[in-house]
Amino acid sequence: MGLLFFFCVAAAAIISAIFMTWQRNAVHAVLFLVVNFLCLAMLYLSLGAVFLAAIQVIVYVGAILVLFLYVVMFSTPAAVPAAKDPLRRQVGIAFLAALILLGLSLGAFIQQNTLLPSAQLRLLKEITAESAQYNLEELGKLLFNKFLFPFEVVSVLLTVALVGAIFLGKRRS
Amino acid sequence: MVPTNYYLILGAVLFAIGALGVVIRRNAIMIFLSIELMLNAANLSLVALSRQLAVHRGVQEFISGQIVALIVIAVAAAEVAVGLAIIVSIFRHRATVNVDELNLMRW
Repeated sequence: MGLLFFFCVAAAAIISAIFMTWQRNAVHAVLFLVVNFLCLAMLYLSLGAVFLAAIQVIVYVGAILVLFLYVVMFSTPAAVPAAKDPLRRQVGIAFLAALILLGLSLGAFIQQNTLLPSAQLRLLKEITAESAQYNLEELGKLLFNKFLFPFEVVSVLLTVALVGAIFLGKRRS
Repeated sequence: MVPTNYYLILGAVLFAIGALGVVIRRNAIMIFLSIELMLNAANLSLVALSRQLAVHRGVQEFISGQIVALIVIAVAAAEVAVGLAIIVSIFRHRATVNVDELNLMRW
């Protein structure tokens, strides 16, 4: 049952990712990426990372992709010229390179034993359940004890990015 | 229970699709979208691997992996904000986001 769920969601994620890269229209591509991120949020839920799934939907889909939609709205060229792509042949080579990259990655992952011994499977199930149940409590405990410094650094990074984005986006008068 | 390998394979496939999108597309915003897809594939692999590590070292490792994934999402948000501001600024000057035409730095 869990495997069936995983295969359905994984197929939806891969299909929406492929459709995203083959769209002419940027808005359609963003919407396909929304579908992909929602599939990934479901996968995070199945892994037991419930807070991460919520943050994925709220922050990644709801803030970042909406920002993409705004920018697509602002930066669509008025007249769409049928620009001849000077490096048309590159598509085939790019596809080949992506296949090689995929093959190398899969070669690393498939070699290992995909059938876990039953003790490990049981432990995996327990860890998923424990993480799903005590997620926020444990996250809070770790975030402000062991990961305090990265947390503060990320806050500074976000402030810097905010100032930078405002400055870069201002209309120079 | 889904083995960790399946998540890693899915992460690898999504990463390859994102890399393909980065190389093929000529629109700067589409390139950015493909980069976001790659970031998410890496995030998924990170969470799946930290769950696998937690089998050996306890649930704290899994929660630490989720925190690192949260930090990756925050960094991606910062990068998207700045990158899109740059793209908007470029579009205001040159009226195009086709990366083939943004060639002022070429000799």
